[in-house]
Amino acid sequence: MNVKLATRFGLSALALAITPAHAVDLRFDGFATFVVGQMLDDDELNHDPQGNLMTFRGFDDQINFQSNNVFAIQARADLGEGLSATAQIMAKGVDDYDAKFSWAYLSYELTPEWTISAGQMRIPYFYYSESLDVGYSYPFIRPPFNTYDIGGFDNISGLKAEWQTDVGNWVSRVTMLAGRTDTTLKISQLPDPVKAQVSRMGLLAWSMNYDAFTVRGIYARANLSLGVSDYLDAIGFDRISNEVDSTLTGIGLPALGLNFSNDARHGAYYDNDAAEFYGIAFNYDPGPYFVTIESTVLDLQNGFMQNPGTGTYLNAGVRLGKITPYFTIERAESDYNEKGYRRLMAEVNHAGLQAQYGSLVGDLIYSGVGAGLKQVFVSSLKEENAYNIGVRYDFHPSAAFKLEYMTAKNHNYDLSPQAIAASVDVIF
Amino acid sequence: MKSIFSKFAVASAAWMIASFANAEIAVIVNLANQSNITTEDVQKIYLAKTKTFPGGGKIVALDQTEGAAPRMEFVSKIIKKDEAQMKAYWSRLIFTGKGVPPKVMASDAEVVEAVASNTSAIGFVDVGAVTDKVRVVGKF
Repeated sequence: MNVKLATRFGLSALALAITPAHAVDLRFDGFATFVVGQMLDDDELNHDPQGNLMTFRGFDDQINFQSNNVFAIQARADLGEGLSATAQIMAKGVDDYDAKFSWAYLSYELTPEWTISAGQMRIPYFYYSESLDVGYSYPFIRPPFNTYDIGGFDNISGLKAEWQTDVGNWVSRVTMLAGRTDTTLKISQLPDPVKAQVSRMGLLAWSMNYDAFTVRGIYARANLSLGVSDYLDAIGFDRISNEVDSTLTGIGLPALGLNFSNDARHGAYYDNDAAEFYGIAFNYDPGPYFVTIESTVLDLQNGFMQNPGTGTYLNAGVRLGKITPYFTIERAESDYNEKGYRRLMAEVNHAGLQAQYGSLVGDLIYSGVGAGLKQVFVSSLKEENAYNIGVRYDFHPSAAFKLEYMTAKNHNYDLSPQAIAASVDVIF
Repeated sequence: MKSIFSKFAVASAAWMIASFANAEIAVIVNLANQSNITTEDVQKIYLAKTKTFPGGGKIVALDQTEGAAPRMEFVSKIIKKDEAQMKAYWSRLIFTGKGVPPKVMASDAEVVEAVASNTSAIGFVDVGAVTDKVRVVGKF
């Protein structure tokens, strides 16, 4: 997809270059973030199901210079009469600096109030979504991790309409977006990246600004598909069935041959299933200090992952000239898909097991299968409080230095990872 | 795209000069523009919260070089931010495609000239640079 886009953009850029009649106003902007950080103690880390040590916000116990680094260039061609073309190319350390088009779209200003855009763009789920990678634009090194974790569905191909208007002394901005995206996702529970698709997405965001105060609400829905069914069959359902059978035959009992219907298995898949997202954010920034509160809910309604997941944070800071101390408190919770679990368990005949194997072994099989199935669903269950405290130093009109201590309390695993990170954010 | 360090030197030199100057700033529009423009309107214009003058009509906002004395005065007195805050604010608009920053002019004289020749233009200059070819909407 990226190559195709690059070619398309290359062609249109070429077309622009060889059209001499119009004066095209071309503007380049860029930003970069360089982060270095280290965990204070890697005993507080989990292992993924493949046995690899996971990281905390991209950091481990080694000094890490790369994974959070970002470098991007944005080009905007003003074609006159309200028409413009924008493309942003970004290279991230976590992708080995493989440069990709993060967005490429055409915009047309119908009236001073209405702008429509078409192409690939950022999905504005969150207050900081659209400048998510521009470290210079926000106080912290990265926006609150759990709240801003949308699983990699950052960008979309589609149509967007924006309506900006005055309502009394307030400035109102309504964003409507429709589109779809096909991508590949790395899910920590699975060994390989899987194909993912978001289709029929509709999004409505409304922000109201009065002087230093902004309030923003958003609702989005989409159909979600993830290529996880093969994995879940292999590492979930079939594995459970095989383990039960090998245990039974190992002690001289007949195999059970447990098999779940496709309908019940579907409860753990994501196959064109509806997903909803809501969020609200408040920001008050009179200058000498600022406060931001944001709360979001992602309701996947089906599947093995968090269901629903909520994230809320409060971030505040004080501007003392070029020095800005800040802190963030965040709380994230997610439940598991109990409905999907119960649907599968309904196909395990408890009374039948007791009749076939006797009540003692029958009960053991039943609870063993239950525990195995539950594991499929609760692997991403989350209850985590996160905190950071840091300082931003605007040492240059185009560059900021940040130093931050971050920690979290994960209640599911009783882990408290901590890290120290520093970043330099520039815009040019 | 100058190197960060040369920009830094220029900016700090400009800052030292500016801290001695502390001059009065005039916000100017074209003589043909009879809109009644308040301080709040000027703030909104330079923060991309409006695209039309109060009386209607498209806006072409003009800026001055970062670190230039009139700009530092303008940003602190009228926008009520400092240049770094202004930059962070605009970085959100630029990289979200929500706005294109005002065109940067090299001097007061250039701003006056551009405003005099463009009915949609608005700019700010040191009061001493104002001529009878432009209309002053406010002094700060």
